[in-house]
Amino acid sequence: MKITYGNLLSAFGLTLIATAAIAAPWKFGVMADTQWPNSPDNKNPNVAVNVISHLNQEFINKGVKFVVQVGDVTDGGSNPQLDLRATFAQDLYNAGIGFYPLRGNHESSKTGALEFQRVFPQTGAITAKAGINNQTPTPFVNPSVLSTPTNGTGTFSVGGNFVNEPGYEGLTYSFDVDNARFVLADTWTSPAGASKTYLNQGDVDWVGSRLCYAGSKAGCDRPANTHAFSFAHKHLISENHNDNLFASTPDSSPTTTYPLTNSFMKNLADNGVRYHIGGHDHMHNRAIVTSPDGASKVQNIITASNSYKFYIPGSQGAWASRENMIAQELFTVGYYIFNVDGPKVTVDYYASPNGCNGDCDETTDVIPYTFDKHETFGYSLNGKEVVVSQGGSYALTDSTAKAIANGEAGYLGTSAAILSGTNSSTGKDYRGRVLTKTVDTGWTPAASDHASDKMTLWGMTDSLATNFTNLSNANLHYLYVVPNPTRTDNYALSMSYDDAKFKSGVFALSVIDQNGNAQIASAGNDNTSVPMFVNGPYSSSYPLGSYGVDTASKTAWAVIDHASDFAVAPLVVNDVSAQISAKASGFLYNRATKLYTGNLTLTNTGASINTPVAVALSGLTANVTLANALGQYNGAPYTTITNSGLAAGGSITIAVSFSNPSNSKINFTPVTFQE
Amino acid sequence: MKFLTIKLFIISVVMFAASSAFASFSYDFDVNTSGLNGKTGYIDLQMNPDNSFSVATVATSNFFSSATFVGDAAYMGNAAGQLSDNSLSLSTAGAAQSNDYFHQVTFGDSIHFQLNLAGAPNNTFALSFFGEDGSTALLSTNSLTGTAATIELTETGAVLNLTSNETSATPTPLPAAAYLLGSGLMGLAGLRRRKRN
Repeated sequence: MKITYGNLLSAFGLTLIATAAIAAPWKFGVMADTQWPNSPDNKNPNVAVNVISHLNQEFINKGVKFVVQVGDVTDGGSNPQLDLRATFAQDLYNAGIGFYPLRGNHESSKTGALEFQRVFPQTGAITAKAGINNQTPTPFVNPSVLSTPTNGTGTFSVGGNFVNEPGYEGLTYSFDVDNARFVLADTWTSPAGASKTYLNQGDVDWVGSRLCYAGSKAGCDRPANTHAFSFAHKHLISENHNDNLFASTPDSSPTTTYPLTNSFMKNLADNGVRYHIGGHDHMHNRAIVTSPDGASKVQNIITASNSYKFYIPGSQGAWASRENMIAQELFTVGYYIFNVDGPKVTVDYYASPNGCNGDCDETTDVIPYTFDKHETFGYSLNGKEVVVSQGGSYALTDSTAKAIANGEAGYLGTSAAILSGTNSSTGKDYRGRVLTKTVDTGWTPAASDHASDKMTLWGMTDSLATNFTNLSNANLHYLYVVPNPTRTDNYALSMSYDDAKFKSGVFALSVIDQNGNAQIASAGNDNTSVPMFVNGPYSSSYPLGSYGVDTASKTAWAVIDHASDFAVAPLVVNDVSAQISAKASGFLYNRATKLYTGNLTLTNTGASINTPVAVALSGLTANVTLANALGQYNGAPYTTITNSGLAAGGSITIAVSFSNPSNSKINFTPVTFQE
Repeated sequence: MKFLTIKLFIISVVMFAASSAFASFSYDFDVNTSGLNGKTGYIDLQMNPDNSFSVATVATSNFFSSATFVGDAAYMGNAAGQLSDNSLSLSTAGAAQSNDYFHQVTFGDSIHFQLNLAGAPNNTFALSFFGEDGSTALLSTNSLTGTAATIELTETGAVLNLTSNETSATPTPLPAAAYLLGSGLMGLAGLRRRKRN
């Protein structure tokens, strides 16, 4: 490898990526092919300018740091078209958002390579300009039907440690942002005119050299426990096209194609790359791809169309058997937001109907641009991934052990388990293959007021599939349905807790929102769910809405139908002492248990309460301890007295026991509250 | 002065008759201990208040049994006397500790005694039996409390709860004089406070 400016910057980049483990969460966007024929409405003149403008605004609204486009940025690849594409990145630049594109087969020529290098200098063709955005050269060709975006800001840098593949400067390149490395591979004719359509072994080796961990071999500079993402225009396996990254028809040349594929996928899998992301097929498609030698598995993400084309899957020959399909959605215009939060990556796929409900090749722009979140998935460097086939169990266990082993600090040490639940999805891809789920876990150190570390769950929602009314004529009979990106099958989740913290307040398994606010996990269930508290371990007979505490195993659990971030966290409760009166019996000593026991009768003199009610014993006599107290409410030990509420006028009697080594008279003031 | 005493007494009687806050109850207890005949264990009587610390007392009478008491009884709180000579009483008044009478016994075939309770609601009496180790509950079907029987004084009366297959308790009608006695005691208490003032 020759010495490049990027190599010289590597020391800086290494520092950048290594220190980013504690960085605040940040986002990047991914968009796909934006070719368009000369549209009758002049909205998309050989470049999908109208689509780009809408996506730019989406990316600005989502607060991304930069956007990656995975090729086919124009229809014809001419210099004017490339100039036009570059010009309409201006809205991003004006918002301080970087833009890092790739070429596709629509810009595959030598002239396309040279113009691409010129109009996107931030990708590093000129090393001094690598990473510096908003330096689109002028003059450029602008069709008179369009108003030219105004350059409203100066240049700015996004990323560091830019390194080029020799001969493909600014075309095949890598760079680092915070704790992530981005490797973008061009597969087309070089600026020098060397014809190419697929990756060769030299390209594969260069990609490997940028993904490998520092210390693993000479020249590797990527720190451990960082993210890496692989991008190219084409894929590990295509859905519509026959060609992929390695050959025009991979099955026809296995002796050359398979070793190349094995080598490329090994570079990804061995270096912790979870996603290879491409375009080319104009559909949203996710699948776990197994290498021909069976040694490597990588998730292949084909990005939704940003064009007028909306392809339908075709035949893939023998390669199809190496795909384990996760999700597939046809006939949408979409984009992706990758949220990087330390070791965690959460990907939100947003999409809009294409306006014609099929593969219409409609050159007049009829896209409604009504973007909704259709799917969320993700992973963590400190979690695990479990593949759950349709009808399979969600059962899994995980803990913070890996996070701690990775050197992350601040953990209480928490374990979690999915105790029940079955993948009831029935979705299939266009060709009838059943969709599987990838359930991922990830960990974040406990908030100061929580009794457990925080666990993130991805992949529990219903599999995203296209809903056809007539598979034989999909381009006319696609029924568009907005998927529910949050609801899951019913499942029981359990998390361990720190006993000392747990006993200091009123805690339960909670869902944690993006602002860190906790809400009891069962409250996130659908409206038919009724909260029901159980003081004891989970049982398979408990319905949706049940939640409980097993003090023996020091775990809190809940039966829920949603997934996001969870922790054992303090609840916000309502004092209902004014409407629930409490009366006790005398307390009797049992010499067998060494405990004093009596009855506590609580009567609701007000309106009906529909959530569990608990009683705290305020001012409890010194040296007297409430046996089996669940925690403390305002410093007083409490126990839950009703499982699911108390009707107006209703009463309930429970037994309470005390440790009372001084045999004192037992005094307290009951304080009732609802969870 | 004499007129004042009579006046207070009449007021006390009227107040007592109108209120259920102070009541008296009596039960005949019979315990079949034939399964324990000849074995050593303990008999335990408790009378304790709830968190309101209202006052009630319990006393025993008409004791007869083939059981033999061993050594001295252990007392806690406001407890005094012996079950065997009908002098046992426990009161929830005053003491900082709970009230307990605990006496070792060699069981015979049966135990009989009359229990007389008087006082405010939210006080609970318990009869329990324990083995020779003093901590293994005997003749009880309630592992939580370990009792053979409890009587809870409530706003509406006494609630008997038998938690033993070998124990029975039969309410005994109180003589009308008992009401007068209780009322008189309250009246005299009022008079004594008056004299102190």
